[in-house]
Amino acid sequence: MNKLMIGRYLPGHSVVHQMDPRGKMVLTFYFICIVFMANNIWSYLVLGLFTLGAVLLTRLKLIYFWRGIQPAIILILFTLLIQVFFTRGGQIYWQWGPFALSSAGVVNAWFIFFRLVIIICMSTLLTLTTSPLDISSALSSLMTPLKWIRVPVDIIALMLSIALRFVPTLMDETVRIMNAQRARGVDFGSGSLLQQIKAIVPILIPLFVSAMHHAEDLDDAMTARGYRTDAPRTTYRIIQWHRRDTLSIIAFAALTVVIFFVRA
Amino acid sequence: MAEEPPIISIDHLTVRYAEQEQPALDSISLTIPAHSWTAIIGHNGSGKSTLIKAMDGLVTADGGQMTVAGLAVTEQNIWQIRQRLGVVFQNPENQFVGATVADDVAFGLENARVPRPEMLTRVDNALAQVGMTDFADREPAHLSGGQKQRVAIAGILALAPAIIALDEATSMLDPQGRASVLQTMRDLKAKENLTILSVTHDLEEAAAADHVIVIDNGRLVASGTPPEIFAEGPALIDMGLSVPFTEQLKSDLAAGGITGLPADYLNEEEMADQLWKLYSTM
Repeated sequence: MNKLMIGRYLPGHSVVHQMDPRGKMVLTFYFICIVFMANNIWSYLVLGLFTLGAVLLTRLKLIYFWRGIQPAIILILFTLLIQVFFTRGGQIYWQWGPFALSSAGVVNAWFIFFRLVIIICMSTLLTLTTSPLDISSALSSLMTPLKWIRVPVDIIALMLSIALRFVPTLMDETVRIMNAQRARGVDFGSGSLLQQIKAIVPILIPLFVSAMHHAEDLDDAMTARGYRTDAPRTTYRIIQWHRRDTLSIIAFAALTVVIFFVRA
Repeated sequence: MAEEPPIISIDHLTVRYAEQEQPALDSISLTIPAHSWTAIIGHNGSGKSTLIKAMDGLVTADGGQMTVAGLAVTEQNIWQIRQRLGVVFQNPENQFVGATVADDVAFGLENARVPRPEMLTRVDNALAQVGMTDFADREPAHLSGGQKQRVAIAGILALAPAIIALDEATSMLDPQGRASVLQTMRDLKAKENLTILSVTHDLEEAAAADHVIVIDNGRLVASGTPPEIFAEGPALIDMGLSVPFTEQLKSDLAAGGITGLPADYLNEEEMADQLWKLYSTM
């Protein structure tokens, strides 16, 4: 479990950690779009160097990024194989029925490989350097325009933040319930797949009941502290835009220009 | 202070829950003097928590009148009353709304539409008052139960209430947590001139209060100073305060013919030690 790096956050004090989470999210998304514009070795080289630079700026150990790529490796290899054997063009080295090994296929496969690695590195970088709390603040801030079409953005934001806040609580409870059920003779993690699925039921039901209790109490506590959905509220937590965020936008703009010049 | 009108007055309050025949509170009348520490004691299910919830409008009254901090408890006034009466609930986990300590303290202020600059100072002050300043950026998962309860108190203090109700606020805490929360409350009461209402099972805490109210089966059974209540004999105490678990165990064991345990009060750990000793000599 601990090795899974998807969605893991590693606290730090680097420039990347301190960036505005809204900027980080939008730029990561933008970067993924840019990656699809690359179509020759030079453009991929530029993207690769840019990604490497960003990764180094986080001051995190490279192993964490490798662990981000690791779970996707089978997917990447599979995509590679398909590209290699089904793309035709240029010089054909080997052919058998629908399969062919061509120079265009090999080149294409390399490009796809780079593309996937670059995209995974950048998205791992986002989750590694942004706390879930910041991501939820950023999401609610980015959703603000939806207020115009009467989406209850503030309520959704509070829901998101409460959900995140209760993840560790419910995790603890799950462990406690599992131990209690083990003490009653439930066997987790062995037997056939069906048996293992059945063993989850005695965890889920108490967990669900307890979640409802939490919700009821929380409702009272929130009401007692004056929370009402029909009245406006002020906000304590604000996200601040700094110069480094503007600079990062300029960097991405420069990257876009360079890619436009070097791509074929 | 006798001339000051009571801060809470309750007149023939009745609360009935939909699924129960017997009313949770049956025509209760009482007054609470301002700036006092009042302990409300009673068995589980006696209706003492319902009393607090009724004052804060969390359950609706089926009859009777209440005045809290100068305001009649009505639908129009209830949001103002909630700013003057803060409640610390039993479960530390279930009243922590914010993602971090500071966010949680700010929650009530956000609801009260306090402007942000003022919010910053009020959050800092409230955290300082409960001694949690160093924990401002912590997430609740990294706090003990006692620390969470102190954050809950800070969240209420930030709203500058006149009354703080503790609804079994220390019952889920370990002894140190309990002591630290009660000490915090005593200091605050002296400093802020607060009125404290404490629903409790803790005999020592009740003995230290200015007033004790005993509720049983939804009815007010007794009300007075601790010496008055305690003088009325063990029957009344038993009614309100369940005998500590270890004492219960001791008397049950004695009834079953197992004697030889020391007569003094034992906490659970000491009790376990004594039981081991006794068992090894049997």
